[in-house]
Amino acid sequence: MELLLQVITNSILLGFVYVLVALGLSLIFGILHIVNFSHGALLILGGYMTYVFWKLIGGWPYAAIIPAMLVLTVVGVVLYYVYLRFIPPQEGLRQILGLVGFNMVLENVILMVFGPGTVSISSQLAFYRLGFININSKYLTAAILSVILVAVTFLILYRTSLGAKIRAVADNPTAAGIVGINVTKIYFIALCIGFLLTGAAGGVISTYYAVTPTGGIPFVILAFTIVVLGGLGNLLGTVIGAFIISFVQNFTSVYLAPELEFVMLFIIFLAIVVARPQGLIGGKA
Amino acid sequence: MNRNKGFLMGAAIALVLSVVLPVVFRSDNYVLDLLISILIWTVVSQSWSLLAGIGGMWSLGHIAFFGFGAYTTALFAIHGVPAVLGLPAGAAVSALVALALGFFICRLSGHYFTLVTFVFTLGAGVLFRYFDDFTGGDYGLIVPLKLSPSGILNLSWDSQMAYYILAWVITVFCTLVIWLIVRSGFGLKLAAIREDSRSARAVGIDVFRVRLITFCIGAALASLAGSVYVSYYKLIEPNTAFGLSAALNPVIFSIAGGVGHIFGGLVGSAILLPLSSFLNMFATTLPGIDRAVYGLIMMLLILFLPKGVLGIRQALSQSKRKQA
Repeated sequence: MELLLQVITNSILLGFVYVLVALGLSLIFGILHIVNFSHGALLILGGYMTYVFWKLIGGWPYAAIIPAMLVLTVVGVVLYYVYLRFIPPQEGLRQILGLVGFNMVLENVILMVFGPGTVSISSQLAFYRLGFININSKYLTAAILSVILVAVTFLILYRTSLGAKIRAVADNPTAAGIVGINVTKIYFIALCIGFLLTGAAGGVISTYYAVTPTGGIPFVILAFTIVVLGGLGNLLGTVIGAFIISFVQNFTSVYLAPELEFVMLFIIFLAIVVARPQGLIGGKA
Repeated sequence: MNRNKGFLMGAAIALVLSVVLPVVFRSDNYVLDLLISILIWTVVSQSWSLLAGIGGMWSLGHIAFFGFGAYTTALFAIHGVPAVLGLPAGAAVSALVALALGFFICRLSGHYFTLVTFVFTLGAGVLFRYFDDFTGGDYGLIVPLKLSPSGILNLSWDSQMAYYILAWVITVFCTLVIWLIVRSGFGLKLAAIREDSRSARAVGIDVFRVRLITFCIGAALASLAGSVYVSYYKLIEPNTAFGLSAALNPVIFSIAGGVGHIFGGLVGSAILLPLSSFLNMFATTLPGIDRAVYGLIMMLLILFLPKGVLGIRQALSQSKRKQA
C-alpha cells in the first residue's frame, strides 16, 4: 500500500515534467508541421546551458533555467531561418533527415565543448513526509516549475488573442492569412514558444538527472511516445499522454523490472501508431 | 534498355576498381582496411536504399538488422558454432524480426514509419545494453582470436585479403539481389507503391505484402553486412549496432551517392568513408569532431544535393530542359 502510494506520487510528479518535455515537440509539429528530430540534442543543450549559467551566476539553480531558455530559442530560431526554411515543407522526410543531421552536429559539439562526462546541478535533496509517502524535493520543484510553464503556455494559447491567431494558423494558414493574420510572424512566435519550452524542459531535467552529451535519447523516446500517444500536434492529448507514460514507466520500473521500461514504451508506441495513428483522443488523422 | 546499359557500365567500373585497387595496395593495411569497410557499408547502404529509394520506406532503423547479424555471428563464434553459419542464421533472425515488426509498420505511411523505426533502433540498443549476460552490455561482444583452424568455417584468416574477398563476395551478392528485384515485376510493383500507393492498390497490387517482403529482404541483406563486420573487426558493441550515428550511416552514404540508385551506396561509402577516416585522426585530440562534421555534411547534402552525386547529371539535364 505504501509502495503503491509512493509510485503514484512519483508518477504524478514526473508526469508534469513529461508534459513539459513533450510540449515543445508537440507545439512545433502542431503549428509548423515539423517533426523535430533534433529535440533530444536540444533538450540536452538546455540542460548544459542551465548548468553553465548556474556556474556563472551561482545562487538558486532554478533561476539559471531562464537564460538557458533564451539561448535555446536563439539556436532554434537560427536553425529554422538559416536552414529549415529552405527545405520545401511538403518534403517532410528531407526535413526529418536534415534535423537528424543537426541533432548529430549539436550532440557532438556539446561533446567537444564539455567532454563525455556527466554534469549535474547540485542542490539540496530533501524528502518531505506526507503520511506514508516521501516526496522527493527535486521532483517536487521540477513538477511545480513544469506546471507553471505549461499553464502559462495554455493560457497564452487559449485565453489571449495571440493564442487565437496561433491556433488559427495551425488550423489553416491560408485562411488565416486571408483574414489578415500575419502568418510569418505567427510562425516566428510559435517557434519561439516551442523552443522556450524545449529549453525549459532541458533545464528542468538537468535539476534532477545528470546529463551527458548523448543523454537525450531516453527523453526523446519518451517525448515521441507521448506525442504520438496524444496525437501529433494535439496539445491536450500531449498532457494526457505524458501522464499515461509516466504511470506506465514508474509502475513497470517498480513492479516488473527497470529494464522493461522501454520495452513497455515501445509496445505502447507501436500499438498506438498501428491502431490509432491519430492518437488516443481527437477525431480525424 | 537505357537503365540496363547504365547498370552494366557502373558494374564494370566497380568490378574493375574493386579488383585492381586491392591488388595495387595489397601490402598497405590502411587502404585495405578502408576498402573492406567501404564494402561492408555499401551492403548496408544499398539494402537501405532498396527500402527507401525504391520502396519509399524511409527507415531510420535499418542499422538494427546489421546489429542482429553481427551479434548472431559473434555469439556463434564465441560458443563454438562455425561462424560462417552466422551469415544465414543472422539473416534469418533479421528477416524474422523484420517480419514481426513489419507486420505492424508496413501499413504505416511517411512520418509514422520513420518514427517507429527510429524508436525501434534506440529501443533495441537499450535492450541489448540491459541484457548484458547475453550481449556483453555496453562493452559488447569480443570474438576470441583462436589460433586453431583459420579458414572459411570460422570466418577467420591471417591475411586481410581474405576478409576483403569475403566482403567483396557479399557485396556482389547483395548488388545482384537488389538488381534482380528492381528489374523484376515485383520491383515495378514496389516502385508503383512508392510513387502512389493508392493507385497501386487500385490496380490490384497488394501494397502491404510487397512492402513487407521488401522490408524482410532489406533486413536480411543488412544482416549479412553485420556478419562480415564482426568477422573482420572481431568486436560488436551497442553503439555500432544500434547507436544513433551508426543508424545514420546508411542514410548519409545513400543520400550522398544517390538514393534509389543501385550504386548510390557504393559511391557514397567510397567518398565519405575515407573522409571519415581522415576526420578520425582529429578525433583522438577532440572527440566528436568527426561526427559533428559528418552531421554537417548530411545537413548540407539534404539541402543542396538531395539526389546525391549520381543525381547531379540528371539534375543538370532537367534544369537544361526547363530552360529550353
